Amino acid sequence: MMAGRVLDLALHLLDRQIIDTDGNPVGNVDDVEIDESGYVEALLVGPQAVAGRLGGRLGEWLAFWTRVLQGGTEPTRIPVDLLTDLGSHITVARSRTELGAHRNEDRAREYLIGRIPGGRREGE
Amino acid sequence: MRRGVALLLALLTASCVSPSRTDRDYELKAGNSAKAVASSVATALLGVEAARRHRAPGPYLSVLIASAEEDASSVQSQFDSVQPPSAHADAQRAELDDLLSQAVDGLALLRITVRRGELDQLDTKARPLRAVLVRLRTLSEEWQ
Amino acid sequence: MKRLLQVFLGVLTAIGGFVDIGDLVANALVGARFGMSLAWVVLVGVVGICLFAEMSGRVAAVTGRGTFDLVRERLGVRAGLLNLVASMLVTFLTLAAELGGVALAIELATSVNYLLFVPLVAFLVWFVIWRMPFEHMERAFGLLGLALVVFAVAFWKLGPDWGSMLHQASHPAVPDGEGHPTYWYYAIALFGAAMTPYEVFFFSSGAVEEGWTKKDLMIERINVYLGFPLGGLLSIAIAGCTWLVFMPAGVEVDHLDQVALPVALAAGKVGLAFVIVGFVAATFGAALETGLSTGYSIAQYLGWSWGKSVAPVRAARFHAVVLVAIVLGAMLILTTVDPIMVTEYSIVFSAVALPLTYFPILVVANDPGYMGEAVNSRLTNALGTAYLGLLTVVSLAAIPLMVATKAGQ
Repeated sequence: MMAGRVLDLALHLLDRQIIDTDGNPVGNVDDVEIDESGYVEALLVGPQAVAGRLGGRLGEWLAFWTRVLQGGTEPTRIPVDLLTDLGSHITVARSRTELGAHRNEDRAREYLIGRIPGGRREGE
Repeated sequence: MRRGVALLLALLTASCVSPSRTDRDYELKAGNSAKAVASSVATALLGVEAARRHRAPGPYLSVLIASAEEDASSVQSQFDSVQPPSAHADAQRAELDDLLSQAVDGLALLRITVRRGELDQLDTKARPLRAVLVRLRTLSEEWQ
Repeated sequence: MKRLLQVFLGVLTAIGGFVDIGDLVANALVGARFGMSLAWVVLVGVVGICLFAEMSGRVAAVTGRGTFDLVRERLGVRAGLLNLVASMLVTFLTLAAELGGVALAIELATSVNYLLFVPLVAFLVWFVIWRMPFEHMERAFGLLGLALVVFAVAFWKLGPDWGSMLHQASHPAVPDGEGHPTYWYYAIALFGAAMTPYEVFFFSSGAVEEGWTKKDLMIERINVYLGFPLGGLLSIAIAGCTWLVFMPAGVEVDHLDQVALPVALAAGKVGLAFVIVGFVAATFGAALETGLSTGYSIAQYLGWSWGKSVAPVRAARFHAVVLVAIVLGAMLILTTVDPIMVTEYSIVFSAVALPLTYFPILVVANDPGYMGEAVNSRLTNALGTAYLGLLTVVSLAAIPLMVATKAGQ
């Protein structure tokens, strides 16, 4: 649906907030995947993608700790044809869970927050 | 290069043991110590004044006076650890150290009195401290 | 009528919430050593915080986004990360200082060593964040913090010579026995205390939590433009009290117990009770704000779901960060490091981090693409740019002055 739009990559995509179809934050656009002819194929989310963009020692350090703490090494990949809106944030036509961008949030919930009394109550 | 490093190291180690290479240095340190302890004593005396006018309760005064005492005694032990460079400095050390001891003792007496709940006796027991304060101020001005 | 009450309560909350441990310590210290000769700094700081708090609140109301979200978008991943790390360090130090401040304030009432209260205080801070609805939380501690108005009463009762006070404040000069570097060092500390960056993270994220829209902008402006200057006056009253009581006696302020003494002398036990309640409320409220701010900044930078108005399990990482920050802050204070010293360092480092926080806000508030009609006016922009220049100078001068004066000795 968004195919064919000309965008300033740095200004309109990178570091923007991504919101899923339920209105939950998925993450920020940490990096993008580009095919040979220069079209954006997918948005990448996750510390691994940040590490790639940071580069240098800092990037290596971040990548190392992400591997140690998270196990998986691949960032979450969101193909561009799933994007429904590009504005002050980017909307995706899938839920967080379907995108697989929820592992760390799940972990924090399972091991810590969900176990504290009151953690599973409704919002205000 | 190596000489530079050695010089730097010498300077660094020298500054760690808090030396006083000259009489003037020592005098400045003494003056500053007198000033700092005068500040603690004056704080406690203002607390005594508040107690005399029934304007402060025991628990608060006990905290106020105890922290003044703690400060004064830490200044004293720091000052005592400074090496006096000459006979003249020895005399200054003796004079100030005696005064600082009186200050710390006086503050301890106030603390004990407050913790016993004898707030009405504070004013009397603070009398010697007033004289100490005057002398501390004189010394701190003289040695600036 | 209901709306009027809302505005009134909002202003009172802003006044009570203005002062935190940094303002208490910096103003008391400066008053005792420099009298009214640094009062102008508070004025400059208050104008600055009004300017940028209004901007960040407006950005939040229009775009529904917090400050750090925008910091990263504007500065990119690398500079944004640097900014995040610096701001987090400062906010964390401030959090630790506030936790220590609450414990010290309770010590004043009980004479039981403050270290014993630190774990309890940390738990309560976390618990309030965990359970208390956002608006109630902000209001309760803001209103209780108003007890600090007793400083203004005490100042009036101590009976300053108003003419000479005005003269001193309007003709600032370095007092005898103090050097220029120390004077400027404390000017920076006071400025850092008035403009602490976490206030802006908290203010803008709070606006998002409370779901502000453009309709709320009027109330927001009244809160900021009335509440903060009155809070600033309260800061000056604190400096005034220590000036009148401590400067003639040659007392330097090193402890929180000393800050309360002028009020006890002027207003007695009731006054002292007010001061202690005010200390507890102001520092506790600020501990909540700084604790939440650590979570807000990281979560916004990384694009997590955040906020205490959503169910905790839906913002699990955010709550985990807040919890960890509070535990670490309590541990820092439990090392028996002097909380007042932590406070002094936190306000000077705040001064260093000022441009990092305020630059992106100015840029976004200026961007019609985001802000539409609510974009900065020309006057706001001119003022904002002038302040950014000032913040940069302050930021660059802070560390050299700290070294040169041995942290103000």
